[in-house]
Amino acid sequence: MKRREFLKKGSVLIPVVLGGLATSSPIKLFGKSSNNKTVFSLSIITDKPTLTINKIGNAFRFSEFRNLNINFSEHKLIGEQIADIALVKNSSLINFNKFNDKFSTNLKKIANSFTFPKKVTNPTLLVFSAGDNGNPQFFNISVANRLVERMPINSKNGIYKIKGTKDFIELEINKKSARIHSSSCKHKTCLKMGEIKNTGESLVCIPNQVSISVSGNSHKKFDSVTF
Amino acid sequence: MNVKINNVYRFILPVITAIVIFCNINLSAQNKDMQYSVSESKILMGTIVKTTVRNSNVNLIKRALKAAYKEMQRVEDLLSSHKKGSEISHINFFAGIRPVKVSFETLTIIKNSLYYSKKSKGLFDVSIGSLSNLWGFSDDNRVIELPDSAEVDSTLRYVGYRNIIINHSDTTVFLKDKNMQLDLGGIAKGYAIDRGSAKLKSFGVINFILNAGGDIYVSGRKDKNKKWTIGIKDPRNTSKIIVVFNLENYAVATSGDYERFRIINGVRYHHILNPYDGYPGRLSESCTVLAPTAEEADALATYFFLLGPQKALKNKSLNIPFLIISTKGKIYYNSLFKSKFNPKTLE
Repeated sequence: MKRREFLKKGSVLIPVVLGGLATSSPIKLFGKSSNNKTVFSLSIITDKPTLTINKIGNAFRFSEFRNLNINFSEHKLIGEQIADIALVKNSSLINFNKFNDKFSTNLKKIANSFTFPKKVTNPTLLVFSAGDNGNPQFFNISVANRLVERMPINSKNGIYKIKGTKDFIELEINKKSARIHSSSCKHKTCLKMGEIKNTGESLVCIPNQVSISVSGNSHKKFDSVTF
Repeated sequence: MNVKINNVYRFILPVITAIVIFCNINLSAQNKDMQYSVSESKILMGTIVKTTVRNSNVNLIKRALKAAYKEMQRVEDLLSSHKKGSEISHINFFAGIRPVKVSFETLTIIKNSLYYSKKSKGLFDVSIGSLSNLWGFSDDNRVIELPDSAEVDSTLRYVGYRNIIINHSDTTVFLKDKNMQLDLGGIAKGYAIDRGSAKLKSFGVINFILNAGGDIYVSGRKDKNKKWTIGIKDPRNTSKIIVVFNLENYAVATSGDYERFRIINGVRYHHILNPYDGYPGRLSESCTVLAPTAEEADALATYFFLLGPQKALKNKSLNIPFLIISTKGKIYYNSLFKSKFNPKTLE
């Protein structure tokens, strides 16, 4: 399967990039880095998360990223997905197959060892990222602790319906922020949670088991919030 | 011949040893550089539980997190009054009928609850269940309603920690009145955080923040030279942070009137009920307490919230750092919080 097809089908993995990867020039994604530090995000869909983490960890040790503090998150996905690797560096999608540096070569070896891209029925999304441009990147939407959608932070303004475990909730996206517009739950606590726009912030509707969190690199002045 | 081989070994062995030592030093230096920050969020205990861990081994962190969430789920299953089959719902079911045999763990947490009830002269009281049910705060599937004042008065009769009878010799708990109901919402989350934190530490994970719906345990540091930083939400603009401070190996919990509430005829009715009059506390918008354990911070945040800033600042019996935001929006720190944690108020 060609990588272009993988990107079209892998809606969770870099959903903003549809087509265009056939060219060898990098594709610009999010906003520019606010300084000259390396900012990267490595997203992998796999059905062997533990083994993949070990292999990626070894690849990092001999890469330009080895001195960075790397953020890692893991999300169980639903349904069938296309397993593959996507590397975004300094806001550009990198086709590592066309580069010969040590890290790209290692990523190629890892992709080959898993015979990526391929369909998997028990998919997990692994995201490694680093840098301090502070840009939030995605609204991660989970139902019953499973990731069902990653909406880019710059998604079109509007109201999006999410099916929870009991009923639907409506999420409003407006100018890179999100809030719960309506919910079938009785207490409406989720409606009172306000809007989220910064990395690490989240909304949750407990009766419907829906959570929405902002992911990306962060340079907030605090690590956690008591409330 | 043997002499020659011995000479070769004499030369080669030190070289091989040197190479091995060099490679080990080189690898450990590279390993030392790699630090991962791993965050995981799950819906648990009626809230979102987010854990952030820093360590060099991602798969170790994953195993530790899995065990910690499993442990907190176990505590929820044991202590939730909403879950059928929990020991607390069993005690509630046999209220006024007979003592119920419970685990030593449940007995201990109820015993600790009674300690905080005595310390707070009844402002913190886990026998508040029937009152919470009356207002509709205990059930996600009900709308919060303003109850009739006569109903509030009559329900108050079923609130009273002195009517919780625990028997250590046969590990039983008995509620004296059939309408009494335990609700450990003011302490169980803190206890679960402590258990989850202990589980993370048992895997050798030292540097982490475990945040369950705003109640937090902070372990170790963000990195060698930097403590973790905690923000406190502005009670009237919940997307804003009003105070920040640094924390290491300590717990923090906040009780606020903005988490579960309904405005009826212009009045805010929230879930922190005063066991003396049966109505939501009216002296504070939020109260943040720091303590060595999340269980203690959780219980005392409810107590100081209901006590209000004036009385709380005069209370010297508990040597605990805290901050209260009054209903007029004024921030009151006690001297211990100021001196020990150097909080910064944000504009």
